[in-house]
Amino acid sequence: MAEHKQFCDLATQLVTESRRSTSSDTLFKYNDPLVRQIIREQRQLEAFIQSQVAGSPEFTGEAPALLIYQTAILRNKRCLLAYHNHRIERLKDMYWAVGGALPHLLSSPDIRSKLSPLEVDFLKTYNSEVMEFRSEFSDELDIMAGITEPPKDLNVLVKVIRDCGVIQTELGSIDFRKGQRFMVRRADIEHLIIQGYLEEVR
Amino acid sequence: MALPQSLRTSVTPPELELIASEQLIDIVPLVTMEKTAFISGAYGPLRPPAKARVPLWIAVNLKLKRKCHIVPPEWLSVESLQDKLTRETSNPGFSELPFRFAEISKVILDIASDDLENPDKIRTLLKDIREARQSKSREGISKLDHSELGLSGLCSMEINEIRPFFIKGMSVLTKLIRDPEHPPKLDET
Amino acid sequence: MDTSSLNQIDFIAKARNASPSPPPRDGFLFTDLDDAQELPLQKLIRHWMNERHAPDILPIQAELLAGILDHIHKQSSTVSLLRTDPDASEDEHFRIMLAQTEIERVKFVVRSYVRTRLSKIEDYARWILADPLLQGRLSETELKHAKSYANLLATHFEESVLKALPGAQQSLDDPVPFMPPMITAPDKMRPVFVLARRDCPSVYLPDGTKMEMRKGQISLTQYRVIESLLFQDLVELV
Repeated sequence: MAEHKQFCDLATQLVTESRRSTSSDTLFKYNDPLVRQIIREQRQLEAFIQSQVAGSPEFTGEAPALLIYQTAILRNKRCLLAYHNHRIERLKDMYWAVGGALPHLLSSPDIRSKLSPLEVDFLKTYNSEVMEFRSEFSDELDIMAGITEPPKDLNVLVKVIRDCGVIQTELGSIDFRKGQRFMVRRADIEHLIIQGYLEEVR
Repeated sequence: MALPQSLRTSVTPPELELIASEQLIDIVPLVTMEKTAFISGAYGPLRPPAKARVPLWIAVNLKLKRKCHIVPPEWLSVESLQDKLTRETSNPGFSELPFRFAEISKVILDIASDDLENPDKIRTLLKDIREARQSKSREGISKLDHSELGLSGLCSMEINEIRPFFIKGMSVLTKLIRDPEHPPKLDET
Repeated sequence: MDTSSLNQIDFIAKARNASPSPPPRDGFLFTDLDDAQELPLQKLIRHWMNERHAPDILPIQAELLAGILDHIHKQSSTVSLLRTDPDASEDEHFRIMLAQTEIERVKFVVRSYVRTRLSKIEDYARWILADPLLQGRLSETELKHAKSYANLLATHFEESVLKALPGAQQSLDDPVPFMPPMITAPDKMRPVFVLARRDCPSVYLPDGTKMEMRKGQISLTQYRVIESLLFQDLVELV
C-alpha cells in the first residue's frame, strides 16, 4: 500500500489534527514533518502541471488532469493555512487566558516544546502590539484583566498556591507565601489568580 | 482571541445580573449617608428610616452588610406572581413582566429573602412561570424560518437561554436558501 | 457624628456636580428607552451589548468612552484622596467602599467592550484594511492595531507556509469559486435578537415582506435587516 493514496490525504490529516485540538481543548506539538510533506506535494503538483503544459501546447485531452492538479493545489494550500491559522487562534487564547503574561507562558517547557520557532516570534510581536494598545488605557484601567467574572465583592479571600514574593496592595505590601491565606482587594491581585499563583477561596 | 471562548456565542447570566443591577430599587437604609455622586448617577441621602431609591448593586452591598432592608418591587409578591401565572397558563402570549425580572428576582431571593413575604412560595411561583413561558418559547421553534420571528414579551434571561439554538436554527435555514452566485439583496427602505 | 468630615467628603458629590439625579428606572415592561434620560453608563452598557451581539464591528463610541474613562479617573483619584484621611468615620469608609465597588463594575464594562471590539478587529483585520468605511468606525488606536495585526498574521503565513510554495501559489487571497473567500468578512446574515427602543420605519425582511417594529417589540432576524435601525439607535440588540 502506498504511503498516501491520493492528493490531499496528508492535508486532510493536518486539518483533522486541528479539529482534534479543538474538541480535546489541547495544543498539539507543531507538526513540522507533515507540513513539510505537504509542501513537497505542492511542488510535485506544480511540476506535473508544468510538464502537462509543456507536453501539450494545445491542452487537447489534458485539461481535466490540469483541473485536478489545480484543485489539489488550492485545497492543500487552504488546509496548510487553516492549520496555521487555527494554531494562532489557539495561542492567542492561551495568551489572553493568562492576562497577557507572555514570559509566564513561554517559560513553561511543555508549551515551549509544542511551538514552532515562528510561532514564538509571532507571540512576541503580538505581545508588543497588544501592550501598545493596552497603554492607551493605562491611566484608567488594565484592559488585560479578567472579563469572565463580573466583580461582586471588592475584596476576595485567596490561598497562595505558589510563592510570588512581595506584592504592593491597597492594604500595604504583602509577602505571599505558599499555603497562606489573605483577604485582599480583588483588583490588586487578579492577575496572580489568572497566572495560577493564588486561588480564590469560595 | 481577546474575547474568551465562553463569551463568544452569548452573554453569561452573571453579565446579565451586572446589567440588571443598575436598575433602581427602594430600600429602607439602616445607615446614614450623604448624597453621593457615583459614576452612574447621584444617590442618597440615606436617612433611616426614610425610604431611598438606589441602584440594585448598592442595595445588595448594603444588604450584605446588614445596613438596609430591600423593599421588593410590586411585581415580586405572591399575589402579583400568582396573577401572572394564571395569565401565563390561560393565554397564548407571554404575560407582561419586567424585561429583567429573572435577574432581579434571583438577586433579591439570593441575598434578601428575609425582606420578602413568603419567599418559598415566590420561588415556586417564579419556577412555574418560567416553565410555562419556556414551553411557549419552544413552540416558537416550529415557526422559525430564514426571515423573521417575533418574540415580543420574552425577557432578557429567556432570550439568552434560547439564543444559541435559535440562532443556529435560523442560520441553517438561511444557508439552505442562500444562492452563492446571487446573494439576496434587501430592498432599500 | 462628625458632620464636618462628612461635609468634607461631600466633594465626591461636588466634584461630580455634573451628574444629574437618576430618573425613575423601574418602568414595568422595558426600561431606559428614552435617550434624554439615558445616563452615560447605561448608554455604554447598551453599546457594549450591541457590540457583543452584532456580527459586524459597530462605530466606536469615542466620546462616550472618553467621558466614562475620565469619570473613572476622577472618581479613583477622589477615592484615593479620601482613603488617606485618617479622621474618616465608619460611614465615610462605607461610602468609599461603594464608590470603589462601582469603579470596578464600570471598569469591567469598559474592558469587556474594548476587548469585544479588539477580538473582532483581529478577526477581520485584512477585511478592515480593504474597506475605508469600516476603518471610519475604528478609533485611531484600533485602526493602528488592525494594520499591524493584519501585517503580523500575513508575515506568519508567509514565513511558515507561502514562502516554501512554488511561486504561483504564494498569494494570500485566491478567489476560488465555490470556496469561502480567504479574507474573512463579518457575516451580516447572522441572526440577532433585536428590541425596538421606539417605533421604527419599516424595513424589508429576507422573504420580501416588510416589517415595521413598534416600541418594545422583540424580533429574531438577520443582522443586515436591522443594521440601519441600529446605527440610528432606534433598536438595540439583546
